[in-house]
Amino acid sequence: MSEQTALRTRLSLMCGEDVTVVAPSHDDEILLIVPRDRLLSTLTALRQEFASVFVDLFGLDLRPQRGIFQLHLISALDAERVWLHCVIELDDQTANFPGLSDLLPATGWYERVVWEELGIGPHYHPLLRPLRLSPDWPESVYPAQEGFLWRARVPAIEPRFFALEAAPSGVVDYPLGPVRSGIVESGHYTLRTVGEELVDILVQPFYKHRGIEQRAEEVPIEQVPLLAERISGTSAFAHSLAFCQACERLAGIEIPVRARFLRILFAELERLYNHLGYHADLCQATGLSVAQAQFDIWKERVLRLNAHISGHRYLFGVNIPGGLSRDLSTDGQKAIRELVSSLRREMAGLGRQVLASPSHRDRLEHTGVLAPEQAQEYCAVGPVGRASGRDRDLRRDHPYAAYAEMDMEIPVRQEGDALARARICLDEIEQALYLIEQTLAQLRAGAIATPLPPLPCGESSLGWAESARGECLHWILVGEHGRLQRYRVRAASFANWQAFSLAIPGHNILTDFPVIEQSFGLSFAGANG
Amino acid sequence: MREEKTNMFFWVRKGLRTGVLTTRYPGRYELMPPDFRGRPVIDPDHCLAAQGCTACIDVCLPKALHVDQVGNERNKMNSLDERLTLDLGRCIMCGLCINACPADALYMTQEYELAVTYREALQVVASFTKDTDSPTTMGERGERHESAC
Repeated sequence: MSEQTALRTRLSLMCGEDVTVVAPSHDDEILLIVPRDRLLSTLTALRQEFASVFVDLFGLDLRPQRGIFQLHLISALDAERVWLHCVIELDDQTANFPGLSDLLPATGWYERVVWEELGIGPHYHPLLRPLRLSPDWPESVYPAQEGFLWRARVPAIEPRFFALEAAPSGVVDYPLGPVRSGIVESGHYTLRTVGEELVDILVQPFYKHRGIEQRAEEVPIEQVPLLAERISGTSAFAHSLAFCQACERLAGIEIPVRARFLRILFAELERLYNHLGYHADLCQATGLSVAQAQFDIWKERVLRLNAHISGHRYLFGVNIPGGLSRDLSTDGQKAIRELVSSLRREMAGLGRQVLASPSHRDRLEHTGVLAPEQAQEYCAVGPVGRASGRDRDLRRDHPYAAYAEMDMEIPVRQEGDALARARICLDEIEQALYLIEQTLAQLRAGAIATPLPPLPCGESSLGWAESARGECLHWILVGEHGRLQRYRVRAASFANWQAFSLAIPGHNILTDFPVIEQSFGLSFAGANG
Repeated sequence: MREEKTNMFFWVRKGLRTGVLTTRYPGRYELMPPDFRGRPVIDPDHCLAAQGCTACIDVCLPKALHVDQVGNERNKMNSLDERLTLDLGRCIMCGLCINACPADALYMTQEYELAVTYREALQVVASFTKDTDSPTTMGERGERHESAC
């Protein structure tokens, strides 16, 4: 605990008198109340002196209770395993804040979301337009303001589409999507080419904004895990885990030991089928059909195992606040052991052979490079970040469930190309198998859930999990009548889509596009929320 | 550093050795595992909706379950029947209703073939006539089953 006190003292000294450093109720989170004018200098100090990593920026409307808006900026101090939670209070009259995107480009999209949801804007932003709301959404309707009802019929206005400026002669723009061949989510790309070379891209990933945060604020808290799972179906377990952990942290309860280990098991099974599917998609992009089928076969086997042990191929309905909704039978354990040992035997050869196939490897090497500096500026997370030098993984840096007791390696590479991302995912498959084996070895009999006491109104909490695509953060503020007043979700893909367009220019040709897209392996649904 | 290169024949052999794993579905029905969450079914013999129970309705997030009352023309006293409707078009197969039911009147099957030809056929209705002892369930093909009493 004295480390915490020392950290808080250093923070106070560094940020100055105006910034209040609050002793937290959890020793893994420090609250800083920052006046609006000190936001830029505080963020600079945190990054330079403490090596803090930006994670999330969002706003909330507290005008009914306190006549203010609140801006929340969350950063991670990985070495100290602490979250830094900056709260900036803005009164109704001067409802704007200093622009952060010059200092940190990663904040660009977050500021636009705050603006379109709440109506409070940054002083400066290079491109302040709506981000997730549809082009026909009326300008003065703000979904995160109090009084907005998710069910309300919002009148459509004349749509305002954004397009690149007209291509000069010699430049061709290829539109791709949102309707495309294959089983893919809706998203639109405009690929700008000069001859064969890809010079620019405009990504429109926000066709699927469902307002899940606002929906979750209308339902009883016990039903929110159902919504959390459906933010991005392939990260269902990770998102519901982050939400349930936020509730458990707020209630101050420890879930049973068996549940902590089982959560790792399910989380790693989710990572496993995602990464196997990732490689199947990558092999499809390069036309290595037999390898694609091999990965698809293994992914299907994992999905069937999921159905066997949880009743759902995508592990829906497993997490509940307080633990798990169902136990793992000895039958289930046996099935997992069998799959893990046969997959391990297979992966030893399969991964090596795939990367040694020239027709596949040549298309991955030096393609779609996201340089380490760019990944840093845009705070890329997950395998994409780790392939570009970002040595961060929530399972090691802010351990949850029983990860602190696990032996694991976090693979990191510096090249930032598609080959590096593919290698990271192969290594993570191996680590996932290892984690599952460790979990099964350490699993003991016991309860799988603790009852959750009613959550106190007016209190808030952070929850997090490392999904297959990276760091997911959930923040809850409990309201009245057993419902949430505010639910904030930052999915991993939201962070990474910002960085995606940086990997396009620079020695990539048009036919590299499917490879770059699949090598990022991002989810549209997760980013949309 | 000389890197290993995979010969194309490796993949040909691999494919041939793996063989065909595609299943015969839909020619041969594929059974899901015992805990698989498929179509929920109402057992009208046990349901307490007629006594005012709304346990399943209260936990249903997509509002797939609801109770209403309909006139029963067969009944001499012209009273109203309680009718519990499960709309399979709204159901997300989460299973919370099964857990919430105090009377074991809801159970989950592993059935996943739910396609029908018109929207109304997705509504599964269980009627409870107050004055007779034979609750009935209207299945999705419009047939009426009388349960043995």
